[in-house]
Amino acid sequence: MWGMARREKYSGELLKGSMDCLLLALIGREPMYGYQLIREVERQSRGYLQFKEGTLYPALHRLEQDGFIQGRWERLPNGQERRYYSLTEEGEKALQAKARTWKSFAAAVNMVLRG
Amino acid sequence: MSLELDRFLQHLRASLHLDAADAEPVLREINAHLEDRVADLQAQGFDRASAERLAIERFGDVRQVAREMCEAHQRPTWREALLAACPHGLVVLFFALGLSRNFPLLALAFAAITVVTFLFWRRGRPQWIYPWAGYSLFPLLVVLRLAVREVPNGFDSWLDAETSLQTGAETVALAVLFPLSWWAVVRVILEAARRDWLLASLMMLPMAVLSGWLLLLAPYGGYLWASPEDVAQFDPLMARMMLAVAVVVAVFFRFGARLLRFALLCGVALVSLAIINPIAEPGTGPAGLALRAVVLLGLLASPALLLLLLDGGPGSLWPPRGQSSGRAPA
Repeated sequence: MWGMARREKYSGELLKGSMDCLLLALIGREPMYGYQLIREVERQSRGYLQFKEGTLYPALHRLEQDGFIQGRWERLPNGQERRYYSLTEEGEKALQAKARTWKSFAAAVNMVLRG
Repeated sequence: MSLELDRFLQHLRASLHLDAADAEPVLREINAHLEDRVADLQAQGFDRASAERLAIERFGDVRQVAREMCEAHQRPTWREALLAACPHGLVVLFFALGLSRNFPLLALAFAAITVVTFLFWRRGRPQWIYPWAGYSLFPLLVVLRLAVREVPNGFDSWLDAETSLQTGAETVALAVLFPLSWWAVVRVILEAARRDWLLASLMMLPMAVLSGWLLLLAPYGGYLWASPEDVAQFDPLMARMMLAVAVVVAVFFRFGARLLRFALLCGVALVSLAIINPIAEPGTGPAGLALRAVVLLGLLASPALLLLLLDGGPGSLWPPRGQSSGRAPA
């Protein structure tokens, strides 16, 4: 139980550190809204990665303030409103840079683990 | 929208410390998220009430969300930070050039600051306007100080039939202006605090530091009554002090964490006290110094305290913790 809690905490910290990269990658594929992003990250990681719901929106708004993504409201036929985010040109560049950093980091960690 | 979701969003709104124009889309978006989550949970078999409670619980601590959202939105640029430091820079100039008793120039400067404050207070109230608003209160504080000193003497002389008609009229004017000025000062502080008590504390910072200056001038009869030479001897010290305030205000705007920002304000006020107090009152013991420090910190915390006192309960500062969890369907 204790080991499990430690592992969850560790993966939570890792997830927080890579949140921007994951969000940019998902939004880069197609415009998405917040709830959809939560479900997608969970689905595509087969349940391993789960965003804390409340922390997603500050992260999205921060990325928007930085000019990496752009939000626009859309009204569904049932009257419900959703805010879809799409990647900006600057966001594309940021995604490529973050993905490069992540791959180098993961490769370096793997090299050490393999010994 | 149900009462539970509505209450959650109200708590979030109260904690956001954003302009209505920024807060509304945030609340709309989070409401849409919660409605989506509730619909999903209902599809899994939860009843509406349980689904709402669970959705709120999964969303997380409202205070943390609000804090992170504020940090995402309230990241002023260096340009805005410099705008916030501008009125302090102006005061530095007055001290550095030995103009601290030049009443016509001071009146002009305060009039300009008040006009800028009035214009931008009405146009979305950007964060950098709060230090300007602090200085706009100074003329009112001068009226309060004058009234406290002059009105009792004026009425005494009046009763003794020693006063001229003009002095009598001035006494009555001050007596009328006294409650009006108090009302205006409290109203501005409260309005600022309702937007964000931290920005209201920032607004109070020059008062906290300049109160030390008044302490220096007290043995000479006080600022308004001391000779220009007596006032001028402290100008170089105050110029350096206010320069430090200007730098701290600019840095304040670039910090993210709210507690760190408040600590920064308290720090500069306490340092100013530590520098001024030994000069103004060398005989003050540790207990007296500690008491002064408490009063100073109380002044900076007064917007938050006022909010608690008038708007009632800790909910006016922070939303209550803890949302009950949902029940699994049978």
